[in-house]
Amino acid sequence: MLNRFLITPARSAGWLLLACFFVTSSCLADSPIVPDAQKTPGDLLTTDAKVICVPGYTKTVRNVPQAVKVQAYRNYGITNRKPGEYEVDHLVSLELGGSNSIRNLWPESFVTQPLNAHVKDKLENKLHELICSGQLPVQQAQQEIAQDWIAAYQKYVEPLARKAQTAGTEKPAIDEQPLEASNPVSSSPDQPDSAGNCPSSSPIKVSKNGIYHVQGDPNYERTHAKNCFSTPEAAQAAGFRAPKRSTK
Amino acid sequence: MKAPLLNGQDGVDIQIIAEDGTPLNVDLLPDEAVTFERIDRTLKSNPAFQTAYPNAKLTRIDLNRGIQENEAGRYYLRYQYDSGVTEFWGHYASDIYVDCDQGLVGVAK
Repeated sequence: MLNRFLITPARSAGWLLLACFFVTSSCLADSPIVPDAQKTPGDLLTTDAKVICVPGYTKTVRNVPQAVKVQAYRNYGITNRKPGEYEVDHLVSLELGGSNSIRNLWPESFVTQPLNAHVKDKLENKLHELICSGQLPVQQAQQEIAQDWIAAYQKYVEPLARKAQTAGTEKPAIDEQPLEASNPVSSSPDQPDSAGNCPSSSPIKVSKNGIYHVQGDPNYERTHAKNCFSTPEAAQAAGFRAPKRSTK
Repeated sequence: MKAPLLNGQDGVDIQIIAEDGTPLNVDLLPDEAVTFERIDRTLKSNPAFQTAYPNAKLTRIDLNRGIQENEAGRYYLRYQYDSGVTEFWGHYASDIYVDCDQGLVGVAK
């Protein structure tokens, strides 16, 4: 029988509150939904690293039916949502051997800061890389991401927060590594190359007119980027806007 | 928790999930067990399923009581086969069907 995990919600919530304290004074508005240990304990399809490390493995795993996604939203009391606001995410991602059972699914925000689905994707990719390079046992990775993905992010990717702002007063940095250095939700732009192309780590192109284009956008390829961002949210935070007919 | 014998198979893990997403420590209702058995029989008698998943053994079922019985997702089944694990979602449909690409199976009421 495959393992199931027990998450300690208090631990996740604690990390979240800590992150919120150091990052923003309006934490509640910026909090993602932390998976509920009862509803989303995490669930596995395989613990075999040889299976998940085969290129294209996740494409062999099914897509979650729409009714299951709708139920995942209901489980967390989400009755209204904007397009692109959430994804129904796997707590233990498919690339780490997670299953499509509803016990491995919860609605995760794309737009909360500093924690969101894009940030968790970065952790998943890192853990997959560590597993497949033999540096981390698959079961340890599965357990850590299921128990507390925020703690795992800080352990394997980077510390979360450096700046505290309380009552409008900026506090000194608390960690030695600047958040902006590699945070995927940072609003600091990267520079395009001389041809106006953006690096893969920051693929969002901002044109000279201050409009950002995401990959797949009809104008993306021909846009000569003046700035590059890791996410549309980061470009928006820096004051740029989507095309009026954007499909983002 | 183990399911009752389903089509003579034992050792099947079971999760019954309430409408609010929390797990329930209860038994399957008789009609729910019958539905799982029908879905399992439908799959195992399907030539495409047999080809794709040789020697498939039912290892796990989830009953999502928050999903209507005619919606794909209420009945979740997991099989171990010769070279891996696969998942299917069953539901009541107007006609019996098996879609191995999407992992869907419909049984008629």
